[in-house]
Amino acid sequence: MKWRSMRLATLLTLILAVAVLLASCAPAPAEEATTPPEEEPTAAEATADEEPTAAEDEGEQEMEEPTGPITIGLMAPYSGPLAAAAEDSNKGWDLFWQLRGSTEVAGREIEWVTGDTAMDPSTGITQATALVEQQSVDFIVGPFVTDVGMGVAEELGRRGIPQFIPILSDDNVTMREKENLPYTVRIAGWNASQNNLPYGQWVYDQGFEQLSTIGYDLQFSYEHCGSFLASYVAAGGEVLTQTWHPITTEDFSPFIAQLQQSNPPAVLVCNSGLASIRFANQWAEFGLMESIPLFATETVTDQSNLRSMEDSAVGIISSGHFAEGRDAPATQEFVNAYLEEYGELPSYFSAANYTAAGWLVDAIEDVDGDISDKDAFIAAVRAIELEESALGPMELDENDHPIQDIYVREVQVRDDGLLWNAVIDTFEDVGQFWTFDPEEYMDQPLYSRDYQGF
Amino acid sequence: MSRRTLVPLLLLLVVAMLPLAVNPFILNVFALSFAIAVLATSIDLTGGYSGLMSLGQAGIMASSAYGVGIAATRYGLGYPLQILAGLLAAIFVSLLFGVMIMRASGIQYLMVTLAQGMIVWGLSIRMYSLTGGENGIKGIERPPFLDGDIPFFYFSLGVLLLALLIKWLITRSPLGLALRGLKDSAVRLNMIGYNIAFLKFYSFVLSGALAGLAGIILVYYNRLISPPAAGFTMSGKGVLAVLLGGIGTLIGPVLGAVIITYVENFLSGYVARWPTILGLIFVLAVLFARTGIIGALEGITGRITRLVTGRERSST
Repeated sequence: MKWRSMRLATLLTLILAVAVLLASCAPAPAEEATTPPEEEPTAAEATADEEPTAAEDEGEQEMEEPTGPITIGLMAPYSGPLAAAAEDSNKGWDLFWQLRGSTEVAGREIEWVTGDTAMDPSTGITQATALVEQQSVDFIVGPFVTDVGMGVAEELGRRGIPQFIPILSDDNVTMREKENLPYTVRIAGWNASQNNLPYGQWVYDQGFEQLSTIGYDLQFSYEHCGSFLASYVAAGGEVLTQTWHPITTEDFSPFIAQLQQSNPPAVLVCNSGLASIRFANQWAEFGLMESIPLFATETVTDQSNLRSMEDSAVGIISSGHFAEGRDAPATQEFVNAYLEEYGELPSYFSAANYTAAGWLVDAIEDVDGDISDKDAFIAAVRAIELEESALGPMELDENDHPIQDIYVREVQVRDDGLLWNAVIDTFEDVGQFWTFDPEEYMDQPLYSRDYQGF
Repeated sequence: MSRRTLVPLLLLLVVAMLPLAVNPFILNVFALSFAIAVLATSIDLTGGYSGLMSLGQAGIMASSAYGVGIAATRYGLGYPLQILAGLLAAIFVSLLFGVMIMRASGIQYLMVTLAQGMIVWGLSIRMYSLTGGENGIKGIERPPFLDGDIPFFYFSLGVLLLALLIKWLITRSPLGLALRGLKDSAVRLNMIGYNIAFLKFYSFVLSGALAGLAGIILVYYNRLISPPAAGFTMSGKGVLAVLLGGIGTLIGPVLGAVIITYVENFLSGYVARWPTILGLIFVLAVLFARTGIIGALEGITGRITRLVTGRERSST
């Protein structure tokens, strides 16, 4: 009996210890989530609910301007393989408010809560309802990945909650699926076609009439390679071989040998994350950096990867809607502030949420802080034209996709020894279809292993 | 009425009254957790009774969900036919792999089922013309009468009860007894004259059909189906729910599934390191409740009863 009660005591101490441990290490944004006073959001929600009928019934209600806080839900895969990128996106978001010096917009306090999608659609959808029903968020920024993003977008559409997607780079959200997703707007974002259509033409114009490609054996790479090849082949280029590797590849030597066999004048790399780092480093170890130039898509030489790449990566050319080396005050201000705050250069994840935050602030100011009418608020978001931002000038097209500058970037070494993407050429005001006809472009099948844009 | 039937009935009553008290989010968490609970129940049917734990059950669940998705979006079939297509897909996949596990036991069994999960996961990514690759199949509409948080909650609760009823009937049938025998001593069971290979095959297909039910909740919950549903993480979630709640019990896997889903979806809003909490819960369960939460609860209630009766005795 005594032994048993001792065991119980140990259990209790353990639970207490764990509770204390967790309480002490809960991060700041999550704590914010718990603190908002209960009455205010519910009051705001109540007015939001009554708005349509009340406004029609009597003008008196209209006088009551909402004054409670605006709550924003940030959705990202905070746990799982993309956790570091999710963390980056939060850093960009936080930095915006820090530089702004205040979280008050048009007389309303801005608060935000986070939702972890864990890269799983079920979790994403459940989290979306959690943010809407539990935390009474006014709108949502995120999430990242295609299947999660689609599930969340449809769920939010049903609940009438606006969604803004600065990071999700899937083509279809602003193409074939757009009509089903009226509440989803891509602010400060990009997609595969927008980046790669002009890039394909550019690479061809540099005199590379043949190339081979390597990418993930996944939809992500099919889309990025495919949209590149669509314009590259249309321009007259020829694809020698296409190599697809598993997402977990650690040793690229068989794939590199395979690429060498076709003896290509250049290679297009369209993967991301760890795979890009490994591939670039091994490509250099094979001594191929000099003999076969590498062309990359945006995610390959994104700053999140460059931090871990060796100096041999210098010279890799890529296209991007963000370039941390872009020689413009708006970009450099952001890059330097980020470097000072976090000790590293910003990735596109940071830049996207940083710019999105500014975009949303402008829109909230335009409606004087009254975002209870979702349609009016979305209209205000659509009307924003950024003459300049960390990403460059931006405005939305009729599919809620940004028209923006696409940069051709080259990896260069900064004076302080850090690698970054410097701009060597710019395509101005690029839409997601570039020079292609939207109808025809959307009529072609979805990019896949079998259909690569030609 | 004995305590063993009274407690579950009271629990069911409380759960059924939930829509009166909680917001749609909590209902959604429960609906999702019921899908995981049915998955865990199907794993426990073979794992808990015959000791043959499947590590790839999510693959079968996903086959059913893909069945529904393909029937709905490609062929535009009606809802009863969609569900039928889903269940048939699950049963078909379990028949296929059932043949392979007939003679496997122990670690081989684990490996074959693990492979089975990975094969379905791999196919769901690679057969993109049918499954849409990683993007999955979207635009799967719920039946109109299930469109809404409350009706869907009751739908998933109903499916869970159906799965529990099936499992309860099986475990009380001669087949259930034979399954227990399989765990205790396969050799002896063979000596008595049971066809062990067929027994394994039969129970695997039955549990596959239950996993198919889980897929049906999942696909209508998400209104889309994509590869993560077939992945090892999902299978692992099911196995952990079984171990956490109590292996070889009726309520245990359900309880485990509800706790896991709740931690994942509720706590993650407040604590960024929620996977750590989930891990700690597992560690605590392994340290202090080796028979799962149900086992521990039974131990505690038993101890309290003894304490109370002991006192009564001393007072008289």
